[in-house]
Amino acid sequence: MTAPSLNEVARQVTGAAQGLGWPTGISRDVGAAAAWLCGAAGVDGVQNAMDALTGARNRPELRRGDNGRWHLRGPTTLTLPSALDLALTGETTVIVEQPDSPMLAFGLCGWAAQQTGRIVVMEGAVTARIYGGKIDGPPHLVPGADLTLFAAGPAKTRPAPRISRAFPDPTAWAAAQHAAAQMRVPATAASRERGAGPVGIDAD
Amino acid sequence: MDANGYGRAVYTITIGRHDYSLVCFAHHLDPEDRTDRVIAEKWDATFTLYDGIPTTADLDRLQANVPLQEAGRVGPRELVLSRANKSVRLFEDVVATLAAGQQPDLQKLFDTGYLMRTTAVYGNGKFGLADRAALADRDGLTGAFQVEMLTVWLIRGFTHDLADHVARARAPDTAVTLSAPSKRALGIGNSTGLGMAPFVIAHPALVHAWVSARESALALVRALPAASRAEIAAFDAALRKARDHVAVWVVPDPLQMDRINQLQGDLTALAALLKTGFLSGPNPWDRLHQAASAYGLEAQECIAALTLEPYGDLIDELADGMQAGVPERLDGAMTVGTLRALIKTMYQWALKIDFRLPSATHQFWYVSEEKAEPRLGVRTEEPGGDLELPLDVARQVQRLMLVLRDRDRDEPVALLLAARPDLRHIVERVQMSLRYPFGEVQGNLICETCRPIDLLRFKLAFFGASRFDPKSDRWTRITLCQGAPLHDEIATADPDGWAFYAPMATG
Repeated sequence: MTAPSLNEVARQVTGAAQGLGWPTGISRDVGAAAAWLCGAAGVDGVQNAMDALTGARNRPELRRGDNGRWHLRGPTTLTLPSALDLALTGETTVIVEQPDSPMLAFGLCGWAAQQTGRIVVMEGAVTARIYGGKIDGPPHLVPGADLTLFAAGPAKTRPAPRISRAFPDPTAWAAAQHAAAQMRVPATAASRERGAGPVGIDAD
Repeated sequence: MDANGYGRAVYTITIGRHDYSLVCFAHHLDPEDRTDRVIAEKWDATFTLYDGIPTTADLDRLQANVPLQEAGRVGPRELVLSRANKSVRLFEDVVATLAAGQQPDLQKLFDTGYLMRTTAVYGNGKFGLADRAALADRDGLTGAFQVEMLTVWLIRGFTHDLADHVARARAPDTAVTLSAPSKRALGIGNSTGLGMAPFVIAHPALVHAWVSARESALALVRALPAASRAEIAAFDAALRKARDHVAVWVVPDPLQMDRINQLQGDLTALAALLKTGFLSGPNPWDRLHQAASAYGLEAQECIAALTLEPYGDLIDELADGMQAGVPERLDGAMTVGTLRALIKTMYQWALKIDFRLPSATHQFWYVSEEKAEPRLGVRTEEPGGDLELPLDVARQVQRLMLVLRDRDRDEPVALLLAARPDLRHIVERVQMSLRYPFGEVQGNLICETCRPIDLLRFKLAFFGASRFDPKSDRWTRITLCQGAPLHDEIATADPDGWAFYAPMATG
């Protein structure tokens, strides 16, 4: 198969997330993060996203620590969007406790940095600086560690990820296709007739 | 290309410093396989727009994939994928007439409007195509759908050449080629279904950009204190063309035909009004728009379009803003109180809908497993309501409002969403209305009386579609590029000269 485009990655992973029952807004963020990982970081965003989407889905816990910082615990798919919402509200540091998918966390931060044009700083489970969506090197991962997240001011430049193809793991890609297909409704004669065009031939 | 017009052809156009090639494959198609639906699997012709000039090896690769459309795979050098079916009767009539050494009847060409109609035009990475971002620095193609419209215009030229080619092969001694007036009368058709409706809902920033450009243009023109004689003459000329165009716009749909008839009457009334020197007074365009409120909706929109015609220099730059970039991220710092106020301001229309009534939720939008075709179902009669697409914006807004009533007004949205991630999508959408006030379709898309055809027409209008010809409340045929410059005219033609094309009036 021809390597998928980044838009295909975003759509496929978004569809897979919805097919697996994740909320629409979360699904779109994860889809965009997967495409960002493929395009900006050269990482298999599909496999990382599918691993996270098929993992834990317990409700995240949110609390204020003694130092006033926000702490989140739970699946990366849910904790990182909220952590970024908090971090991007101001000069706030947020701790995500032991994210189960550091690479997806990196992707979600990359996509958020690209959307906002801000500098996003990650330390701990992932160490990286993302300048408006651009990275200056591969992230350093420490599985099992906490992730400290901080959003700084606007990046001086706001480059989009370079256009490229994604090269996802075939098994992960197939799993994403299968999950996305769960959102499609089986065809019936009635649905075909009520569909979007003429019934029969158009030999006019 | 063989004598029957089956084979392949390549057209290359240079824009800026880049070559783009339309690669065409023409096929034999059994009549029973000819359908305009997305679920079709064979077509009279299939196309791709290639970035550059393809080699023979490229053409062989494309020949193995492009005719399969959704079932094939294309790659990063391909920008657009499309297919088209013949208007069989007109194509054969044109070929027979040309083969006999005569030009086709101009009225007949105009009435049908095209030799082929496209049934899908895909871009932006679908099926392996290049992502739209690949065109970010390409002259003339950075705007939304510009590369798709380039493809459609190139396909139109191919259909002209295909008719010439088949006629020549059929009668080499007597055949003539389509004259320039005959070619101009032949645009390119398009069949469009429900897929456009979810697009309009899913792209509020782009819809806002389109509508905002038009509203800004109207505001600029309406603010003018006076109109010069040349400007009034330009408006009069545009109105004459519009009246000629409307006079020959005939469709089978009775509802639309009633609208066209009313439009014709309203434009006649407008012409009479203008003879009184109406535009010679102060603030002519603002007064005209106020006067237009006495006419039907078709006439009001038509007059709005005509008003812009004399003022290209004033408004054309607004077209540069008719696109959208990376989607913006929601604002986690916004308080619940502010979000509530925003809903009350921007979504009052949604709050008024009574969703306890079965008619308010009568329909649901979904994607069929058949080639991922978007469809609209009746909730009580069809399965799939649990897989509904989130086009029920009004209902989601009401649900959000219920949740917001129980939250602290000073709570930031970030904390709300940490507890309720299921609300992320609708919160983001409501926040977008602040920046993109024209981006929302203010209607209940799942109610019993929802007519998707109106959404389709809205979007098609921004593509320059004419001859709107609804076939039901959920699909339509339209004509593009009728009267537009031909392939060999594009570099020198007047870009403003072909709106409201009516060949019998203009010659």
